[in-house]
Amino acid sequence: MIDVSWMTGGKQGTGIDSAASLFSKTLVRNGYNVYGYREYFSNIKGMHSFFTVRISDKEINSQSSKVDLAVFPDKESVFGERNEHGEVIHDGHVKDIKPGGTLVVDKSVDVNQIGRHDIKVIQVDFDQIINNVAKKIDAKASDVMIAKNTAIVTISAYLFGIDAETLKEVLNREFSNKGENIIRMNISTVDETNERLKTLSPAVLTKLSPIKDEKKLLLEGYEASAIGKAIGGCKMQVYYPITPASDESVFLESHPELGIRVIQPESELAVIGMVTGASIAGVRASTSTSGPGFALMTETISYAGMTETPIVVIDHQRGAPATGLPTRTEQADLEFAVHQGHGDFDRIVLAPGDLEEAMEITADAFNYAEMFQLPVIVLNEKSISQVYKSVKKSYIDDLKASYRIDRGKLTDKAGYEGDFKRFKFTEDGISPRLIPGKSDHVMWIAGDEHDEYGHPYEEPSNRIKMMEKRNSKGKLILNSLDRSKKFNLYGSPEKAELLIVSWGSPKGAILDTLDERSAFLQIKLIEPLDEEIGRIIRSAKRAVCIEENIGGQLRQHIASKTGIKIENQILKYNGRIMDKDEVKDAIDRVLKGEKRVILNGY
Amino acid sequence: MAISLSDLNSHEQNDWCPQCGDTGILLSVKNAIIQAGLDPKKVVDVSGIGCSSKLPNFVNVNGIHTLHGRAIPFAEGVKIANPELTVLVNAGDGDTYGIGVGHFISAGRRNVDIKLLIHDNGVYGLTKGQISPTLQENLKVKGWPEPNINSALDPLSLAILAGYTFVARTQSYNVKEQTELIVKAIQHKGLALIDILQGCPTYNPEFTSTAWFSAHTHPLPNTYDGKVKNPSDLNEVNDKKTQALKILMTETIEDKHTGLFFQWENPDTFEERMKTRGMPPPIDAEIKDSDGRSTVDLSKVMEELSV
Repeated sequence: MIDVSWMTGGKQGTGIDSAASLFSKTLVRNGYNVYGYREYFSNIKGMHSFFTVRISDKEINSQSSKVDLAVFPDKESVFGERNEHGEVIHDGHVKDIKPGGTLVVDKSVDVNQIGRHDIKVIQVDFDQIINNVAKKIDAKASDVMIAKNTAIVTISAYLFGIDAETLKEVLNREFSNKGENIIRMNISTVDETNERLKTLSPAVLTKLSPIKDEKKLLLEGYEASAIGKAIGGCKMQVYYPITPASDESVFLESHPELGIRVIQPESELAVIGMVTGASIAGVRASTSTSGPGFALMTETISYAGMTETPIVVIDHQRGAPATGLPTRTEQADLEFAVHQGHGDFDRIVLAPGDLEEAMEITADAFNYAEMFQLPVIVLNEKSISQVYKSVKKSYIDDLKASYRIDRGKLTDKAGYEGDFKRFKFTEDGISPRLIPGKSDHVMWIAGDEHDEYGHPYEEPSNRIKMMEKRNSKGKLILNSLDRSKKFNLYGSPEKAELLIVSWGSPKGAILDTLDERSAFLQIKLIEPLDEEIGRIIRSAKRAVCIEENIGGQLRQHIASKTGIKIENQILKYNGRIMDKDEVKDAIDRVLKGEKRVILNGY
Repeated sequence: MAISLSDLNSHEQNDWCPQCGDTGILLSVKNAIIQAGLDPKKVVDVSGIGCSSKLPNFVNVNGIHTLHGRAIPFAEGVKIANPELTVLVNAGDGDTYGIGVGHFISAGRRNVDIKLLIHDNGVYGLTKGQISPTLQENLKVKGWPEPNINSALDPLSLAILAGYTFVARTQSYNVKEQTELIVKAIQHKGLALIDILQGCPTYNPEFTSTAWFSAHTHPLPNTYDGKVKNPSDLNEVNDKKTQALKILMTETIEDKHTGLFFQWENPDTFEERMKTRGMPPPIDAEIKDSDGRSTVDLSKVMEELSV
């Protein structure tokens, strides 16, 4: 089995993302699976960002803690940086290389300071490559500087024994609409870099020869959410800029062929008002945001609960509270999402664990919103939304072919005399809904307590019935949805020594380290929580809850719904993604008796 | 088929105070729907929170009673989703110029074709008489123990500067003028504000009584014409805006004008701007086929994500 990891880094704004993307594409083209992730500061230009890519011929769902190859064009990536107070901003990436791994640095780096004798160091003169390319294509060196990224990819491809022609095909495709000069610059960079490497003649690390596998696409997580929205029949996306959620809306706006109106009004208050208005008008409408924006939407989420209006909100969670860590990951909005909004009303909270589930769950969210007429919140995470992953094309084709749009009790006829009862009491608690202007009736909606017609009404017995109507949807939802939509169960909780309980992105690291000692329960439908969850946890010999927050929010949620307090915890709250190696180590420690393990991997 | 006033009555009885100006506004809204020849089923009346915002419940058109301050974005959402609908907003001065003032200003950038009918009585009535953003500084109203410590904002000037394309003022007891202006606003293509000076006999009888309005409001002079004749002539647009602002800046509570201050039939509403992106209005998109399959075409996205 091939399983190697790679890293590059540099100053934000210099195109490190594009190096990683080009490298990933080259590998996916050769048939490999990739799992990539970027770490960056909340900054436009100048701060350090880095990118890791794990590569395998098998399914992979997470990162490794250490890499086999790191290629850095700048000194800071190697040695780290300090701020004006002498505090460490980051401590460099020398420590992130596996023993026996390879580090490629610029000629300007003093290799004696690297301080590791168990890795191989290769020096490349990046400036010379750039100057030579500039001469060859008759351009200014400063205009060619961006091609350093292509040099990084070329070096990486060389060291993994990847044919230069494959790389050139990817470059040609990537820059096909950027004009002849850009393509020439990049192709010349490949050639020039390979010339330099030939004189250095470093040995190939692991040869990543082309392998046969079914057609794969390279997706970033927010694209998965966007595809889910497109399949789900979303026609209006309203958003206010916020990291790491805006990418999804920008992607939708750059794809007008999907027919989704993208609107950017003045605030999240306006956003959620427009979404709710559009939904009342009969359109599948949605927004994507992150914690701070999600918090601002709170009053209207409560309104959507009260008025039984279908809305879909994706919260791409980031480090919180307050502005928190805008570009880092965390799973700290679960309890907020479950309880968001004043008063009692049922809602749905869903949590995908990877890109594929982000697509499926997002599409499903639109059905659930209309079937059950309530707000649906999808808890995404930066460590899903900004993960690059190879995804089988057939997965998306199959999802689209099998998905059926269900608009619930949408109607254009009342079927009885008199005014339309938008909030009619029915056996299952869901009332017929109509599209204003597309029916012989008019309808009223009020956020005040209302009668069946939607007019404000404070009479106590009506209040009781309406409260029970809105707060009995949970049961209906649990009875209506298939088990596969609520959770995934891997292995046998009765037989295993340990049951791992988790939600969201830790799924990847858990799956990649899961062995016969453990079973794994991944909860996708967070709210309402299925009673089956309680039964499964009770059936286990021992359980541990893994999540990316300090409070153990899923554990708390399970306790409040089932009365079960899971005894062991593995938590991470430094804002960085969970890698498989630290998760494996933590599970070992729990098996040895540790109750609470805090992860700190970078 | 022509409709009558009684067709526009809902089964709800209004619970406003006796002599409340809102009853005049209610009548004018119904009159205007009839005179503009609207199909009630294609009218959506969006409201905020407060006495003003109970109004949609008393009209036999679609009514959405929303949250305090948020009527404008809800209304924009409805209109963008389905441009065929006539979308009215009935909300108060606290609602629109206080808690919702960000939406009020920002709406000017978009020119969504919605009609704001703002009940402006200088107080928060339903919460028992607190002072609203439009009450002049130092005035003492019956409903509040101290004179107003804040100065007032002028919604009309703000609307003109923010980009509203129809800006008018009327008062709640003048049903004839109100009706005419609401009809004009409905017929206007673009975002309209009608600030309706509204009688609040309970909390602000001093400055909103019929007697006060008769003494202190008067129509814009006959010679005044707020309508831009040549919509593409930006000099004329600026002249008309300046003309309106000059009057508004010299007004006091003892001397207010009613009528149409400014109108510019800007060819580009937000809905029209969206059309240039080549998408049908969201409500017209067929999202599923007869088997319930999603009709969206992912081929371009799939091609782009191929390596």
